[in-house]
Amino acid sequence: MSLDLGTAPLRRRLSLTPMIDIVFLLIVFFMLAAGFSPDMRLNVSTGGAGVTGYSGPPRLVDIHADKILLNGIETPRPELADALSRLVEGREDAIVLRANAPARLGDLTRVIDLLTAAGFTGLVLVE
Amino acid sequence: MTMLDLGTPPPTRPRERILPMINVAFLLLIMVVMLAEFTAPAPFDVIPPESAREDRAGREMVLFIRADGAMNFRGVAGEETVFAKLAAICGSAGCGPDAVLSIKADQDLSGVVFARVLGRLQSVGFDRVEIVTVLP
Repeated sequence: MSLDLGTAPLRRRLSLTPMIDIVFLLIVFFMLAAGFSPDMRLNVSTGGAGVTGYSGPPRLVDIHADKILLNGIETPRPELADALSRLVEGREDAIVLRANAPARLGDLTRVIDLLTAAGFTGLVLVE
Repeated sequence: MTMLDLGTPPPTRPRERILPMINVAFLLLIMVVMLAEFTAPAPFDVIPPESAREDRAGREMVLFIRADGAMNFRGVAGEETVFAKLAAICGSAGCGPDAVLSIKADQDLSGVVFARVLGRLQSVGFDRVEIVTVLP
Protein backbone atom coordinates (compact mmCIF):
# COMPACT_ATOMS: atom_id res chain seq x y z
CA MET A 1 0.00 0.00 0.00
CA SER A 2 1.43 3.31 -0.94
CA LEU A 3 0.65 6.65 0.57
CA ASP A 4 -0.25 9.28 -1.92
CA LEU A 5 1.28 12.56 -0.86
CA GLY A 6 -0.01 14.38 -3.90
CA THR A 7 2.13 16.39 -6.22
CA ALA A 8 5.08 18.25 -4.70
CA PRO A 9 4.22 21.91 -4.05
CA LEU A 10 5.87 24.48 -6.26
CA ARG A 11 8.84 26.24 -4.64
CA ARG A 12 7.80 29.85 -4.07
CA ARG A 13 10.30 32.65 -3.72
CA LEU A 14 10.35 34.35 -0.37
CA SER A 15 8.19 37.46 -0.45
CA LEU A 16 9.94 40.54 0.90
CA THR A 17 6.87 42.73 1.18
CA PRO A 18 5.89 41.71 4.74
CA MET A 19 9.45 42.40 5.85
CA ILE A 20 9.29 45.92 4.43
CA ASP A 21 5.96 46.39 6.15
CA ILE A 22 7.52 45.49 9.47
CA VAL A 23 10.55 47.72 8.91
CA PHE A 24 8.38 50.69 8.05
CA LEU A 25 6.20 50.03 11.08
CA LEU A 26 9.35 50.01 13.21
CA ILE A 27 10.46 53.33 11.69
CA VAL A 28 7.08 54.92 12.36
CA PHE A 29 7.07 53.56 15.93
CA PHE A 30 10.56 54.86 16.72
CA MET A 31 9.88 58.26 15.19
CA LEU A 32 6.73 58.64 17.29
CA ALA A 33 8.26 57.30 20.50
CA ALA A 34 11.54 59.19 20.31
CA GLY A 35 12.32 62.75 21.20
CA PHE A 36 14.64 64.60 18.89
CA SER A 37 15.08 67.80 20.91
CA PRO A 38 17.41 67.00 23.81
CA ASP A 39 16.99 68.74 27.14
CA MET A 40 19.65 71.28 28.11
CA ARG A 41 20.43 72.54 31.57
CA LEU A 42 21.23 75.60 33.65
CA ASN A 43 23.01 74.97 36.93
CA VAL A 44 21.85 76.75 40.04
CA SER A 45 22.55 76.28 43.71
CA THR A 46 19.83 75.88 46.30
CA GLY A 47 21.77 77.90 48.87
CA GLY A 48 23.27 74.94 50.69
CA ALA A 49 26.98 74.22 50.68
CA GLY A 50 27.68 76.63 47.84
CA VAL A 51 27.29 79.83 49.85
CA THR A 52 29.27 79.07 52.99
CA GLY A 53 32.22 81.04 51.71
CA TYR A 54 30.40 84.25 50.85
CA SER A 55 32.76 87.19 50.85
CA GLY A 56 32.94 90.65 49.38
CA PRO A 57 30.23 93.24 48.77
CA PRO A 58 26.55 92.24 48.56
CA ARG A 59 25.49 90.85 45.23
CA LEU A 60 21.71 90.60 45.27
CA VAL A 61 19.91 90.44 41.96
CA ASP A 62 16.17 91.08 42.28
CA ILE A 63 14.33 89.68 39.31
CA HIS A 64 11.02 91.27 38.42
CA ALA A 65 8.93 90.49 35.37
CA ASP A 66 9.93 93.73 33.66
CA LYS A 67 13.13 94.86 35.34
CA ILE A 68 16.23 93.69 37.20
CA LEU A 69 17.52 95.33 40.37
CA LEU A 70 21.14 94.86 41.38
CA ASN A 71 21.45 95.65 45.10
CA GLY A 72 18.25 97.67 44.79
CA ILE A 73 19.32 99.71 41.79
CA GLU A 74 17.60 99.11 38.49
CA THR A 75 20.14 97.76 36.02
CA PRO A 76 19.55 97.27 32.30
CA ARG A 77 19.90 93.67 31.23
CA PRO A 78 22.96 94.15 28.96
CA GLU A 79 24.87 95.91 31.75
CA LEU A 80 24.14 93.37 34.48
CA ALA A 81 27.13 91.09 33.84
CA ASP A 82 29.54 94.04 33.71
CA ALA A 83 28.13 95.55 36.89
CA LEU A 84 28.40 92.21 38.70
CA SER A 85 31.95 91.53 37.56
CA ARG A 86 32.97 94.70 39.41
CA LEU A 87 31.51 93.21 42.62
CA VAL A 88 33.13 89.77 42.54
CA GLU A 89 36.67 88.59 43.12
CA GLY A 90 36.30 85.45 41.01
CA ARG A 91 33.67 84.07 38.65
CA GLU A 92 32.81 81.31 41.14
CA ASP A 93 31.75 83.79 43.83
CA ALA A 94 28.18 83.47 45.04
CA ILE A 95 25.58 85.72 43.45
CA VAL A 96 22.20 85.75 45.12
CA LEU A 97 19.15 85.79 42.85
CA ARG A 98 15.71 86.57 44.24
CA ALA A 99 12.46 86.16 42.36
CA ASN A 100 9.73 88.74 42.94
CA ALA A 101 6.04 88.02 42.71
CA PRO A 102 5.00 88.50 39.09
CA ALA A 103 8.24 87.08 37.68
CA ARG A 104 7.89 83.66 36.10
CA LEU A 105 10.46 80.91 35.72
CA GLY A 106 11.11 82.09 32.16
CA ASP A 107 12.20 85.50 33.48
CA LEU A 108 14.49 83.80 36.01
CA THR A 109 16.14 81.55 33.45
CA ARG A 110 16.79 84.50 31.13
CA VAL A 111 18.87 86.13 33.88
CA ILE A 112 20.53 82.83 34.87
CA ASP A 113 21.30 82.21 31.19
CA LEU A 114 22.82 85.68 30.87
CA LEU A 115 25.00 85.25 33.95
CA THR A 116 26.02 81.69 33.05
CA ALA A 117 27.06 82.92 29.62
CA ALA A 118 29.18 85.59 31.35
CA GLY A 119 30.96 82.83 33.26
CA PHE A 120 29.43 83.17 36.73
CA THR A 121 29.04 79.76 38.35
CA GLY A 122 27.97 80.55 41.91
CA LEU A 123 24.35 81.41 41.24
CA VAL A 124 22.11 80.90 44.26
CA LEU A 125 18.36 81.23 44.03
CA VAL A 126 16.61 82.24 47.24
CA GLU A 127 13.08 83.10 48.24
CA MET B 1 22.86 49.50 -45.97
CA THR B 2 23.70 46.94 -43.34
CA MET B 3 21.33 45.96 -40.61
CA LEU B 4 22.32 46.98 -37.08
CA ASP B 5 22.41 43.93 -34.86
CA LEU B 6 21.07 44.87 -31.47
CA GLY B 7 21.40 41.34 -30.22
CA THR B 8 18.72 39.52 -28.38
CA PRO B 9 16.52 41.63 -26.15
CA PRO B 10 17.43 41.28 -22.45
CA PRO B 11 15.20 38.99 -20.49
CA THR B 12 12.43 40.83 -18.69
CA ARG B 13 12.62 40.68 -14.89
CA PRO B 14 9.36 39.51 -13.49
CA ARG B 15 10.00 40.92 -9.96
CA GLU B 16 10.52 44.56 -9.09
CA ARG B 17 13.88 45.42 -7.53
CA ILE B 18 12.82 45.58 -3.91
CA LEU B 19 16.15 45.01 -2.20
CA PRO B 20 17.46 48.63 -2.43
CA MET B 21 14.26 49.81 -0.83
CA ILE B 22 14.85 47.53 2.13
CA ASN B 23 18.38 48.86 2.41
CA VAL B 24 17.11 52.43 2.54
CA ALA B 25 14.44 51.50 5.07
CA PHE B 26 17.02 49.84 7.33
CA LEU B 27 19.32 52.85 7.04
CA LEU B 28 16.42 55.10 8.07
CA LEU B 29 15.66 52.81 10.98
CA ILE B 30 19.26 52.85 12.20
CA MET B 31 19.43 56.64 11.83
CA VAL B 32 16.25 57.16 13.83
CA VAL B 33 17.38 54.82 16.59
CA MET B 34 20.80 56.49 16.85
CA LEU B 35 19.61 60.09 16.77
CA ALA B 36 16.65 59.77 19.04
CA GLU B 37 16.47 59.84 22.78
CA PHE B 38 14.14 57.51 24.55
CA THR B 39 12.80 58.69 27.85
CA ALA B 40 9.81 57.87 29.93
CA PRO B 41 6.89 60.05 28.93
CA ALA B 42 6.33 63.16 31.03
CA PRO B 43 3.48 62.85 33.53
CA PHE B 44 2.00 66.08 32.18
CA ASP B 45 2.73 68.65 29.51
CA VAL B 46 5.54 70.98 30.52
CA ILE B 47 6.99 73.73 28.32
CA PRO B 48 10.52 74.30 29.67
CA PRO B 49 12.08 77.76 29.44
CA GLU B 50 14.37 78.52 26.55
CA SER B 51 18.09 78.96 26.86
CA ALA B 52 21.02 79.00 24.46
CA ARG B 53 23.09 76.74 26.75
CA GLU B 54 24.16 73.48 25.17
CA ASP B 55 24.95 71.34 28.20
CA ARG B 56 22.89 68.17 28.18
CA ALA B 57 20.62 67.74 31.17
CA GLY B 58 20.71 64.60 33.28
CA ARG B 59 17.90 62.11 32.97
CA GLU B 60 18.18 60.00 36.09
CA MET B 61 16.36 62.20 38.58
CA VAL B 62 13.83 64.51 37.01
CA LEU B 63 11.34 66.50 39.03
CA PHE B 64 8.44 67.76 36.94
CA ILE B 65 6.64 70.94 37.98
CA ARG B 66 3.58 72.17 36.10
CA ALA B 67 2.76 75.85 35.62
CA ASP B 68 0.27 75.68 38.53
CA GLY B 69 2.89 74.17 40.85
CA ALA B 70 1.78 70.52 40.70
CA MET B 71 4.75 68.18 41.06
CA ASN B 72 5.66 64.71 39.93
CA PHE B 73 8.80 62.72 40.64
CA ARG B 74 9.21 59.19 39.32
CA GLY B 75 5.48 58.71 39.11
CA VAL B 76 4.78 60.10 42.56
CA ALA B 77 2.49 63.12 42.62
CA GLY B 78 1.80 65.71 45.29
CA GLU B 79 4.32 68.00 46.95
CA GLU B 80 4.49 66.26 50.34
CA THR B 81 4.91 62.74 48.93
CA VAL B 82 7.45 64.00 46.39
CA PHE B 83 9.57 65.60 49.09
CA ALA B 84 9.26 62.51 51.28
CA LYS B 85 10.58 60.42 48.40
CA LEU B 86 13.41 62.89 47.70
CA ALA B 87 14.37 62.94 51.36
CA ALA B 88 14.42 59.13 51.35
CA ILE B 89 16.80 59.19 48.38
CA CYS B 90 19.17 61.61 50.05
CA GLY B 91 19.09 60.02 53.46
CA SER B 92 19.98 61.84 56.63
CA ALA B 93 23.50 62.76 55.52
CA GLY B 94 22.36 64.83 52.55
CA CYS B 95 23.02 64.09 48.93
CA GLY B 96 26.26 66.00 48.54
CA PRO B 97 27.43 67.85 45.47
CA ASP B 98 27.41 64.81 43.20
CA ALA B 99 23.69 64.22 43.29
CA VAL B 100 22.13 66.61 40.84
CA LEU B 101 18.40 66.85 40.54
CA SER B 102 17.01 67.98 37.19
CA ILE B 103 13.95 70.18 37.48
CA LYS B 104 11.75 70.23 34.42
CA ALA B 105 9.41 73.06 35.22
CA ASP B 106 7.04 75.04 33.05
CA GLN B 107 8.26 78.44 31.92
CA ASP B 108 5.07 80.02 33.28
CA LEU B 109 5.64 78.69 36.80
CA SER B 110 5.82 81.51 39.34
CA GLY B 111 9.41 82.39 40.20
CA VAL B 112 8.51 82.69 43.87
CA VAL B 113 7.04 79.18 43.92
CA PHE B 114 10.16 77.88 42.17
CA ALA B 115 12.44 79.55 44.72
CA ARG B 116 10.37 78.04 47.53
CA VAL B 117 10.75 74.59 45.96
CA LEU B 118 14.53 75.10 45.79
CA GLY B 119 14.52 76.07 49.45
CA ARG B 120 12.72 72.85 50.35
CA LEU B 121 15.10 70.86 48.15
CA GLN B 122 18.01 72.31 50.06
CA SER B 123 16.40 71.30 53.33
CA VAL B 124 16.13 67.66 52.15
CA GLY B 125 19.76 67.63 51.10
CA PHE B 126 20.15 68.80 47.50
CA ASP B 127 22.84 71.47 47.14
CA ARG B 128 22.77 71.85 43.40
CA VAL B 129 19.98 71.47 40.91
CA GLU B 130 19.79 71.94 37.19
CA ILE B 131 16.93 73.69 35.46
CA VAL B 132 15.95 71.86 32.31
CA THR B 133 15.77 74.17 29.33
CA VAL B 134 15.31 73.75 25.60
CA LEU B 135 17.13 75.41 22.76
CA PRO B 136 15.17 78.29 21.23
